[in-house]
Amino acid sequence: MGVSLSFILDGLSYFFGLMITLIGALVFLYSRYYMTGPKEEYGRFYMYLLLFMGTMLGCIFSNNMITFFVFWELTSIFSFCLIGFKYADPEHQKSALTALVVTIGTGLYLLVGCVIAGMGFHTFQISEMVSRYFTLPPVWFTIMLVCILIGAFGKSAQFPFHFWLPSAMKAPVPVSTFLHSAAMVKLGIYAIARFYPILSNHPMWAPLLITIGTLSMTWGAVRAVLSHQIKEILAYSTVSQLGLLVLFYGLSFHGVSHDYFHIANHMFYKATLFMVAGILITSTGIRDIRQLKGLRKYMPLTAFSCAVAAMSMAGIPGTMGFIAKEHILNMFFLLIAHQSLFFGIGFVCFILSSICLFAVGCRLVIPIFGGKKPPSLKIVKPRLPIQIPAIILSSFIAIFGIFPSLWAFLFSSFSVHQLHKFPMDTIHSVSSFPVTKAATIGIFLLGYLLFRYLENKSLSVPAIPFPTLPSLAKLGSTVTHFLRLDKPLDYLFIVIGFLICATGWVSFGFHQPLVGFISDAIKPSMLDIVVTSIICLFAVATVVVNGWIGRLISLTTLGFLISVYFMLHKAPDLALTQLLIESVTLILLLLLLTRFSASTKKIDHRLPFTSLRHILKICISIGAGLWIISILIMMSGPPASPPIGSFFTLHSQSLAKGLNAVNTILVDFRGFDTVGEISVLVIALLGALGLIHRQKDLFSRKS
Amino acid sequence: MFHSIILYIVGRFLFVFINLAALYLLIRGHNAPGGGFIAGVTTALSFVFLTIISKSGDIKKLLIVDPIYVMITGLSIVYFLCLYPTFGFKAVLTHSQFTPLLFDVGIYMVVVGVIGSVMSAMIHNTEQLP
Repeated sequence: MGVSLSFILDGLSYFFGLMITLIGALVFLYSRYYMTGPKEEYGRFYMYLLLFMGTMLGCIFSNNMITFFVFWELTSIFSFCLIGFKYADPEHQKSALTALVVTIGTGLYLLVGCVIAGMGFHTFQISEMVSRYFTLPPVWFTIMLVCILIGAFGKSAQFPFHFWLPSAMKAPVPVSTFLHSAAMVKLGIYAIARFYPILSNHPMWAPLLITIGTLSMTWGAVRAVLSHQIKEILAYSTVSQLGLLVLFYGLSFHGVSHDYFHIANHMFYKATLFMVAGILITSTGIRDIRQLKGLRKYMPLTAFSCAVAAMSMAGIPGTMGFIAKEHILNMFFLLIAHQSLFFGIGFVCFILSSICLFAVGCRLVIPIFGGKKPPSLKIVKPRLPIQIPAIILSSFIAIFGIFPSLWAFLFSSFSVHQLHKFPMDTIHSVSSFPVTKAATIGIFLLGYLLFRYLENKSLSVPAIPFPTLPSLAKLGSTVTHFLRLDKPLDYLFIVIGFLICATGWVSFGFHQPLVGFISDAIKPSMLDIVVTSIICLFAVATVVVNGWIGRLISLTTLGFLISVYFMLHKAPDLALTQLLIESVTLILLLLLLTRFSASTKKIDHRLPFTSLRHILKICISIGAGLWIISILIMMSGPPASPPIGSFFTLHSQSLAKGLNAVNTILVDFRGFDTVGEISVLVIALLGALGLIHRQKDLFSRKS
Repeated sequence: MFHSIILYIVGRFLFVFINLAALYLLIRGHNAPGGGFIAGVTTALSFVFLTIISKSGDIKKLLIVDPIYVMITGLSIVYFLCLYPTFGFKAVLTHSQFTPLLFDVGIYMVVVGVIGSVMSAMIHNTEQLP
């Protein structure tokens, strides 16, 4: 199959692994002080969080595409568990389900992409694909590209799928911090970076990434500036920033530079802001930022970390955000100078979203921490330990913002061949164009004006109804109703009819050369003929006899007679089994059928060929009979390979130390098959018990 | 179920004899017709008799252990025998002196447990039918 648990260890996976474990560790520290509630819930929470982190690392380090996909979907599942952590609330259930449906559904596209890649490159190893040729027609490469990108877009909440991320904000704050800002949504970005060497030569790569990235960047930024709930603001700004990262990969044509810096910048400031939001919510109990004022005095440390993170989001000098923004502006100017207007639209959208994010950054700091606290606002002072993780992260932002050469020193060795540009220019030398400086100052001014303009208004975006979940459930039930049959018996028609139609014509075609062979091979004795004719007699009786008891008994007698036939041909084990099974089944059926009321045992007394259903039944029965006969004829033909039965009869005593060859086959030679059959038996029992007990509930509810 | 004194007395004896036969079939299975599956079905036949002669029809009340535990024990025996040789770096299911019989006993217990549980569940759930 080519599916293996192999791992890829290069700069890209090391970098993501490092970031995830760093943020993860801080989130664990944070949630130790954030989580309130019964102690029993902690275990569940930390278990989910650890499982999520494990699958996340598994996804990042796996080299095999199928393993990658499995871990990818597992992260969605644990994200579902974490969003629906307070599962008693129907709203939480709904948003958890939305996230699950979107991420798992788009993940299935990724699976399609993985399978096409595996078939095209003849390997599932990501590291080997880079050096191989795609052997399928080029249209398959396009399909693979689109499928993989849909998977990545769904995971990192890009434009058509972005709605799950804001609704996932019902999760506890540590979960939002970890999953929906730092870890899980970055998995889509990771996938884009991981497949960059394989896919980026395709002409559709850049337009797709740029279009989707631009759309989600702009839409997220506009929604963020118009929202009022603190977590919603952060969620939409996350969508915007993820769109920017997608756009960034789309703009990097001949190798990426400094993508780590952008990713780390977003991880640091967004995780900080989420942690600050959690502190604000726990200490005031208010989620609407319009009601928060003058908190500076009560939580100075939090105010500091929030300010640094918001400055990074706004792109103010001295933070990582400033350098990142300058870098992208430079890229745009270089591209616009050389290339087409297409980038002009992207550039305008980038400026627009930067202005919006600047306004958001101002909104998160100036009104909340500045001014005077209204007397109605009640504040519980946050404890010191809960503030520490945010301070650590914000100090990273400041340190790397002021000393970008330190970043270059630490992470320049993480670059990956065929993904990154060589030689890498150092990050602190990017701010070179005077146009860039002008653009930055313009963004600041316009952003501040937008903030001032919005300060006294309370605009809100009308909620766009998105009928995803209920319509999906409705579709499911419609399909089920369409495919379902009312009587279990009707399935038998479909299954047997399909079997005959699909395979019958093959076996019917085999006859001519075999007939002569069979008439030579089988010389029936007198006894055979007698037994066979009695069997036929009872077979006819099963159909003709009136009343269900008579039919049942004649069917069982038929079984007994078959065991006589087995005896004649020296198969005592088979005969014994057949006898016992027949008797147990008969007695049990009689016992059970006597308990049903007379109306359920009614037999159709109409003459045959009177109803369509009857004719269909007869046709299918005859077809099945002919089908079995033709298969038997095929089987009694000259064997294609020497029969294996003689081996067992010969070696039964010497190898298995038993005289009964049937038993030695069951216990010894093919013992493993027996183990499997027994397991199947037990599984069937569990299923049957489930059905029977549900049936019991049904009856008791009726009465 | 059927209140017949003759059936009741005959059935009680039959239960013992059928199970003796089952034991016989189980032990001689390796060298002559018989074996775990056949013996298991034979014992299940005895359960059917027990159901017929008992008043409530619920064999779970008459047996000492719930058949499902018998099934679990049997399955554990089989799995243990399956994995046991691997600890001695042999192939899965390598048999030694007595393990074929033990394997058959495991199969026997699974078959008895499965048929017994299904039967008791069916009998129990069709009781209140109109």
